[in-house]
Amino acid sequence: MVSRVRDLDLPVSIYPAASSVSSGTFLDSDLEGTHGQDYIQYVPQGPARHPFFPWASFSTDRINSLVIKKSNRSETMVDELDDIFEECSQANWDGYGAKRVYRSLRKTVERFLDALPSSIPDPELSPDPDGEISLDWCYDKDKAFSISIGRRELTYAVLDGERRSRGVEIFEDEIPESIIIQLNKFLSDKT
Amino acid sequence: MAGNIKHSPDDRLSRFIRSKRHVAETKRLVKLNAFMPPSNKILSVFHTQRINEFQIWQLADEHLPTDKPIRIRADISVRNVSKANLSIDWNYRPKYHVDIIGWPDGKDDQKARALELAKHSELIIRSNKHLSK
Repeated sequence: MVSRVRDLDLPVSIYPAASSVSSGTFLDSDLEGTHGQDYIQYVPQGPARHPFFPWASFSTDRINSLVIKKSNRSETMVDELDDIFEECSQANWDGYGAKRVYRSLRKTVERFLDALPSSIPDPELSPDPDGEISLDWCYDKDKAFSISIGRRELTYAVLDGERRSRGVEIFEDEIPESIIIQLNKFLSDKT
Repeated sequence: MAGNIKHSPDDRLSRFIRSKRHVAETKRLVKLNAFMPPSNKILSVFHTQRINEFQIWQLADEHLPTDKPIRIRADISVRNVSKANLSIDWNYRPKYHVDIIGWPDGKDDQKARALELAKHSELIIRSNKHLSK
């Protein structure tokens, strides 16, 4: 992932496999104007490298916390969610025996959208035949990322040129790191 | 009857789509959800290789009746279904109807295969001249 570190004022790439993620709310204004705001904090445990000069690594002491503000997703997304519940409130909404989309999923989807870092663009929403809701990032025939949100599980599949990936993760309060990493990789390779 | 259906790897299969959310119309893309199987893991499509456009859309009107005519479909070749490690049940019940079968149990695996189908499919939008009167 690429971000800007306050002290260095340089964009750096963090190798996510060697980092951990936490989140919370700013209590002290250690960064100007951030008091009370939600954040996700990446704590890199490996070297960080400049994107254009990858052989140059920075001391992780100097960048031991990268702060990325969480997003407030647009109201359009909330409207879209309402439309899906409306369109898929009855079973067989697709003509092939799909299950109805449960309104109880709404909070989970909203929590997921709120937890997405603001650097990630809004996904498109679509109903799954099993009653779950998918978040899709589709750019062309060879580039698509889809996450199905269920009551507790996130099921995802990625097609990114020759690269393919899939998996299932549990969603509680935070988006699993593996999904954030894959999404960032997927989006950073977007041409 | 199944064994008697003549087909080749280049033959076209059509999946009628009710939800506009299952395609990205401006990008001319079909999303994977258009090809996700229902809980019985049987994905319903039609073998439309030897019928014309008007007849294809008539199949949608006959077999997927809805308050508004279906105006979106995704076409895919038999070859690309096989490439996704899925099979076809050429049951022709009703006529021209076939099923894509062989879906795995895991939803992540299903999504991955549906992504392959979506990747190789073509989005077709119904023109007004193919609307039934």
